[in-house]
Amino acid sequence: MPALRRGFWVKLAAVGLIDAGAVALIPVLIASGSWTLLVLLLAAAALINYAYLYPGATALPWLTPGLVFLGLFVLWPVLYTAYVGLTNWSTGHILSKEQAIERLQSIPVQTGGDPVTLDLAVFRNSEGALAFHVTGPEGEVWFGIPRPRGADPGDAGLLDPAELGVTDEDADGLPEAIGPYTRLAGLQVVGVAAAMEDLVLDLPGGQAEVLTTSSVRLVASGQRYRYDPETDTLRDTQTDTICGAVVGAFACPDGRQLDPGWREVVGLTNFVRIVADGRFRGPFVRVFTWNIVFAVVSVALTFAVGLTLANALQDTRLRGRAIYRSLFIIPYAVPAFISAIVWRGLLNDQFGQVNRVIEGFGLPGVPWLQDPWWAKVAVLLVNTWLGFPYMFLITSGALQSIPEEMKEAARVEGASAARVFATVTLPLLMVATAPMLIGSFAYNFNNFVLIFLLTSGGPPVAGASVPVGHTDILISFTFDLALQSGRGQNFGMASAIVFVIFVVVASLSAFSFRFTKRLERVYGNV
Amino acid sequence: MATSEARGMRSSHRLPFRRWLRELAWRHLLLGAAGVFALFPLIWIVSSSVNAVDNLSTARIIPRQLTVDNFVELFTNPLTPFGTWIWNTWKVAVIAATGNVALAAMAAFAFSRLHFRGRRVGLLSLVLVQIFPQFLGFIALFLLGQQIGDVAGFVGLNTHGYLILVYLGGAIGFNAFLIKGYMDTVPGSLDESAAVEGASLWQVFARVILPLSRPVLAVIFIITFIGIYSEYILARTLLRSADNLTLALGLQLFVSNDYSARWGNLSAAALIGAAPIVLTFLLAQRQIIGGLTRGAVKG
Repeated sequence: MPALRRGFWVKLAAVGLIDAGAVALIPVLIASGSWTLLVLLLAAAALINYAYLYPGATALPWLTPGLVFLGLFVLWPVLYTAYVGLTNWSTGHILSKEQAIERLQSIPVQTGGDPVTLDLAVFRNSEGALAFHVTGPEGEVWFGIPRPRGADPGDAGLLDPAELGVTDEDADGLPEAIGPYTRLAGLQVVGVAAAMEDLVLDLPGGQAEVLTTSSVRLVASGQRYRYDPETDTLRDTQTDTICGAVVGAFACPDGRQLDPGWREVVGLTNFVRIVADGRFRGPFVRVFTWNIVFAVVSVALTFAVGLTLANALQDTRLRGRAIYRSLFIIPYAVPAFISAIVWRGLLNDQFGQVNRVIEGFGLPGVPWLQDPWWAKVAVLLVNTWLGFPYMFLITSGALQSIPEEMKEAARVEGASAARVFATVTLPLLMVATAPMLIGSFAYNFNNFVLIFLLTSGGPPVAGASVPVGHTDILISFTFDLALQSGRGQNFGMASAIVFVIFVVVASLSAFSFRFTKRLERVYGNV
Repeated sequence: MATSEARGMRSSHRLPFRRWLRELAWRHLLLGAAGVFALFPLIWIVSSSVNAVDNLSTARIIPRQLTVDNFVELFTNPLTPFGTWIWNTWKVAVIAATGNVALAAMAAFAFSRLHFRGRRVGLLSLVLVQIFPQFLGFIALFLLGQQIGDVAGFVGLNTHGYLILVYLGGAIGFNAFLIKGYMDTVPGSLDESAAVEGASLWQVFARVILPLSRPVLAVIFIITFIGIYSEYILARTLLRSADNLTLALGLQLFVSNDYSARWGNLSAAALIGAAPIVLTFLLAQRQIIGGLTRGAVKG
């Protein structure tokens, strides 16, 4: 079978190409420390190789392309969102700890104006090693072993003169000897001048560079922070304090948290903050409440309008039914992002045509998008416009499927039209459309496009500690928290809230699935 | 059906006026009001898009003077490169929808024709996966895009390539399920006879099953295309620079500036943006709405 053979080679070439790409990427990913990507890449490559090279795989060759994308871009993001929700990942906590330490160690000491010149005295021990004695402007004294500029500190660094034993016989404040080191005088210094030229001594305020044989210049070119891996601390050489690692950052004794910090797993902290931290609880509860109200009222309004219209259109004697139907489909057909933006214009309080019409009736214009209450009304109004066609379509279908005999039976027993509707039509309709209503609730619960484009969540809540608006729903609130960088990006907190949304949506879907199943059983038994 | 409706119409003609008033007039009143409500924004953008007075505050429903300036300016103003946005949108939507249909059709073929372990479970999982709306993963997808961008910039954050790949993630969900249902109705005797004639599995798929499934593939393509054309949150998350924007993102720029002054442009842009989708809807009403409402039941 030549065709089969050719297919095999094509397949082999394709898999080979994918493998080559994967192999080429592995060192890059390792070098950049992208472990997540590496795992995803290896998993995808393994699946592809197994599916297309293992002869026993029957269905996998057909499913693998879809599965790879499903895994990478639908399932994995769910897990990753859950993980991010457990971290402090946010502006200032973007880097890994290693990267943060590296970044901190590259911060230079801050200079405060012009370089300061300090007095220098040079000491030497019996082995010829030099030591510097530096006197500060206010009489402070540093004594230590200098190092060549650019070299690692090694054994160099400050020593404690008192510990070594100070000999100051003339009591002029300048010792003649400190421990094994004796002070070099006059000509002796000149003798080591060439050796001194390139030496520096690390002081808390920076580097003391040799200026003359009797003076140094304090240059703030040294690195400010030094990391000690054993104690996991950072030494601030400028203030000479130790900054210890706390959650996501180094904290110094003076209360500063060093920037950048790093991202790390903080457990349920974000979730705890949602319910316990006043800065987040207030906005969260406000947004969550409105989210539920918004979704419930949206479903109720669209259902009511849709059903009313479907019902009105039931009468077959009516003329122009097809035209009405087409008209009602239009809001459904226009992409929602266009409708939302257009409505934003129509509802503009100064120029918008809606206020124009209202003013035409002699009534005052309405601050649709500025007032907290009117903004909510506007959101619901526009959502009714967007959503009633869908409800119209499904209730039209459902109305037609209700057996005429059942209504007839009720009528025969003397029930009024309204009563027939309330006791026969509506209950049957609710049962038939319940899964769609739940689906519509779930959809509106996350109706990002409408909120984001119509009101941007606004008007803003005054004085809130995080950016939040009166019409924000969880998803738009989350989006601002995560990606609108006005007050920093808080991926961790946003992911925790997304996780809450996941739970709400998943339980709704589970509920809906059970509902449909029961429904099928009911219909199956009839 | 048609005849009974026609008869119904004629009988409404013969309806005494008072009975018409009592039984049908309120319906017309209600339906007409709803029709005006439904059309209200559309009428305004059509009117404003051709109104020579390009200002929201002076706009009238019927313009005194007509112009095409609003449309021309859309394509000539370099600050709002509308042509680029349209091109971006169509490019992303066509490629992603085609990929979606291809991946879904392959998966559907496996579920419809092959016998393998885990078939039932797999099918059920495809439906269950819909519990997780993809867009909720936007933070993870943003961070993933950043990381990909560090090693392979051409499919990283802020590229159409990455957005398309992300859109392919939803391919074998409910779409595959719908296509599988259709493929089940294609008689198995057809592929059997093709197999007897020596066709490989791939040939059975490509030459027998796919051509016969064209109707459902077309519907899935259109629905997916519309979905991606209108998708907002992922595009907004993943595309960041001005010349990369899709229509959904670019249109917003008309709003963020001086609203009143750019109302004419926005209207023209909205018309061009909505026209292909609305026309498709009206032409293929039954198929699309059937697909969408069915999808919604499970979604």
